[in-house]
Amino acid sequence: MSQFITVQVGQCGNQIGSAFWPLTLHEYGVQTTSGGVNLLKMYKNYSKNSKELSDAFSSFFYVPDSQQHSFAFKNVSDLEQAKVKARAVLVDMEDSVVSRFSQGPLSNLFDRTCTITNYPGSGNNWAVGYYTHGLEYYNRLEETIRLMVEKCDCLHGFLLMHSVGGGTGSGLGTATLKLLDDAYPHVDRFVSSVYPASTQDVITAPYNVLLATRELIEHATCVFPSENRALQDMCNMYRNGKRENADQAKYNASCLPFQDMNSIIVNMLMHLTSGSRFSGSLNTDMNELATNLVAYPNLHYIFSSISPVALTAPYIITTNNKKYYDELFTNAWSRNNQLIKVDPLQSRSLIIGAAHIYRGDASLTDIRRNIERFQSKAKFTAWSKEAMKVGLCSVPPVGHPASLLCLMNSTAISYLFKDIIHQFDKLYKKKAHIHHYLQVDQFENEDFIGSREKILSVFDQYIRIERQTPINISRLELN
Amino acid sequence: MLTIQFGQCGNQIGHSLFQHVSNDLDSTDTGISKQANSAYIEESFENWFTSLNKDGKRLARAILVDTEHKVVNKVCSKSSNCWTYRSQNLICQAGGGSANNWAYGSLIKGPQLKDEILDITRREIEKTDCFNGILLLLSSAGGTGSGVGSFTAELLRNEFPNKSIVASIVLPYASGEISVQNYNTMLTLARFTESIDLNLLIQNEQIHTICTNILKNVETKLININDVISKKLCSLFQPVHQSWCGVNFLTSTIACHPSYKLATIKSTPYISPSISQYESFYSWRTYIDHLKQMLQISVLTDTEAKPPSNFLNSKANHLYYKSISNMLLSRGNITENDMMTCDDLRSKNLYVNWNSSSDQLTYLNQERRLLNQDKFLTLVTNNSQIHQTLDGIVDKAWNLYTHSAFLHQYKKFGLEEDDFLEAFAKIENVIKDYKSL
Repeated sequence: MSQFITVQVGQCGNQIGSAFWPLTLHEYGVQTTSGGVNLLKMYKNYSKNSKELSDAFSSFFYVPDSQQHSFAFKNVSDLEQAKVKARAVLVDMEDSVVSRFSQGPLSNLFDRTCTITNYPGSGNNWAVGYYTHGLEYYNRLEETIRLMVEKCDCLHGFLLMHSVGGGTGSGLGTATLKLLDDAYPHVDRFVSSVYPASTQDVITAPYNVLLATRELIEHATCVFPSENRALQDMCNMYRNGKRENADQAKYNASCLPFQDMNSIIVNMLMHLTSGSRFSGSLNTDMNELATNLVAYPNLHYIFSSISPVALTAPYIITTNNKKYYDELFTNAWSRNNQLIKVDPLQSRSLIIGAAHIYRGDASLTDIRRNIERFQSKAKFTAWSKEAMKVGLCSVPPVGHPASLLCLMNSTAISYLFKDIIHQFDKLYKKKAHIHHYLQVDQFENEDFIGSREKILSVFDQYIRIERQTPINISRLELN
Repeated sequence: MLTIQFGQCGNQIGHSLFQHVSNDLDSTDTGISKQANSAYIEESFENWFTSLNKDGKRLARAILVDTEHKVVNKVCSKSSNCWTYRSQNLICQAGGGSANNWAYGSLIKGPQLKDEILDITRREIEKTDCFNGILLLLSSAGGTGSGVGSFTAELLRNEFPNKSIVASIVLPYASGEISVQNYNTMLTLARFTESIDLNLLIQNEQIHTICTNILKNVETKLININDVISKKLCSLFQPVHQSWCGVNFLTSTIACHPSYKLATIKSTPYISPSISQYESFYSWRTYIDHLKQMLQISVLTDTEAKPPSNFLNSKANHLYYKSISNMLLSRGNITENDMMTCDDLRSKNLYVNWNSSSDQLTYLNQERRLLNQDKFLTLVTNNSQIHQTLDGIVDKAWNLYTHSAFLHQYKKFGLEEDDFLEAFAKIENVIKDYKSL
């Protein structure tokens, strides 16, 4: 079974992690809270898929004497008894979020040796995270990751979770990414990066975003960006909109700040890895995604959207409903469901590649019909109309009969890059706060300039694809 | 015959195929005497199975190859009371598959699995008294089937230069199921037309239409598609009256010219299981006519995806795809009132003129019903129609190539532009040959 190591860096990364582990355990049928409301309990499919689920348990968890256990864990104390550990590396330069882990109900799930913390933090400064902490902790990070890798018998990929607006997640996160690239070049590196809202709470965010983005372009296999604005809007829509699901609303309200926003990202990540963890009639492994979506080097920023967004269904829908399938697809293509505030299907942009990964039971007729709908709805380059990946995973997510993850590589991502450069230019023109960066050892003004150039060149590449006139070279002639 | 299944698709089809064969052996409505039936069973068993295991289950003469555990595990765990795979014959490597990448499969994963594949293949061949040939099952779209399959095809060709090898290759939906499917398909076909004696091409789209149109299965799932494919293969490889027929014979009759090694399988009638009790069968003649219509040029819809009808229109002056050679297999009882005449399939306008008329159509029959079905006809045809399919694939692959899309994914594993061009040239050659018929 494919295994993944999650690396959560910085406050945001660890907050996503704190939503990730309970939900993951939940998917495997492990009860994480005792008493109180456990609204995610509506797990109709669990007994049906229990064998498959327990087989896939080792994807995210390490079980010491794997021969002795059946992997059919029911609650947290079962896990503790079997000394189960999450395949996770926790890194933060401020202790607060990570220490919440070590006091929470899942504290024993994390190996103390796999948490790296420090005080004080990176002061919202990418350079401090990348250079100062990156160098200081290089050996410890390398060693910690190596220990984790040694516990895997078939490592498939790293999942890095961080935000790019601050200092630690942004700086140390990308330093860790580079370390992974150097040490494990053949293992895929999937990154979930949270981009800040434009009403920034961190004044130096534009610098951090720019510097981190360059590293992500250079060292990640695929980046799945998400924006706080988009996540917020999605949550609000569910809170204010249809009050169809009171349970869901109550659950959201009971969560910590950001928890429900983070759970959208978590849902996406669980869906993303589902093909590698569970079987299906058209199985999609994670390493196939890059082959199918990344047509040119460096163009690996992928739009992601899931449908349905809510964690649980208000009522169980009979899946033999054609309309239900079509709605699932339509919602996934909607700009409202995108994890960033850019519409991948806007009029000027072209689709370079798309993947639809379906969880649950579906007929090929329904899938083909919707793929054809997509092909008539979206605009494509001269060659990419057939660049469609379809995946079917037989195990549906918790609380839904079916769900869909839509991944698109669209030239519309150029708007994200344009905005990054624009925000940076505004601040850099005034030379504001530059000295904080320049006084960091090894950081040079060249970092700013080089990063800006790199992002601009990727931006240009997307624009070139948009404007490209079809190349017509006739096929080989044989004499 | 030794079956080797590659990748997700190959393993799913293989499983379905053995299930069909096993069901056929156990079917009760045979239409022939008990004695004749046991001879049939014995011969078929010899072809597909090695022996019985200690639980009395038939052991498949098959090797399963995959770069990923999930599918193989699933296939093996779908237990049947009647047959099973030999657990030593699973060649499976952990580590997340071939990434839908032909280069990764054939240049990296293939060599890693080489020794194991050769060892087990040799062992299986040594076990058989009279070795008939090898059947490879794979799809051309993904990474493992196409890549590891291509590597193995060449490997087996060098290792067993005198054995007949037939491949059944599933081609992807033209509207796309994998972004790089046309690269993978082209690279696979270039390799297979070189090393393999006969390639049976199966198009997912066509099978899907058969499922929805004839079998009235609106909610077609992958398993239904695999059912149709395996029934075709089953009817082709189950014993016939002429006991000397086998893989060797098939390759020498159908692929008699080294430039023409591609064939398709047309069959009729498909009957939905839910209505099979009420369905009446047409005469053999109607079915022959139906098969002949499938060879017509420019029919708007695919005739195989339409049910046969009694309106004989063979009088009309239709144009037909030129065939090099065809093989017809009929399964079911032929009576005086319902004679089998395959003269319609012998007419001159169906064939190229350079193949002698005695080699153009080979007719084989089997009185015994296949899977309880009153009549079933299968036509293996090596004709010029295939160039259209290949044309479509090369068009799309060439379009990707001229825009250099996805090439870096292949270069990463050592497949360069020149290798692509070489494969393009090979397939263009095949297309040209078939076009000129």
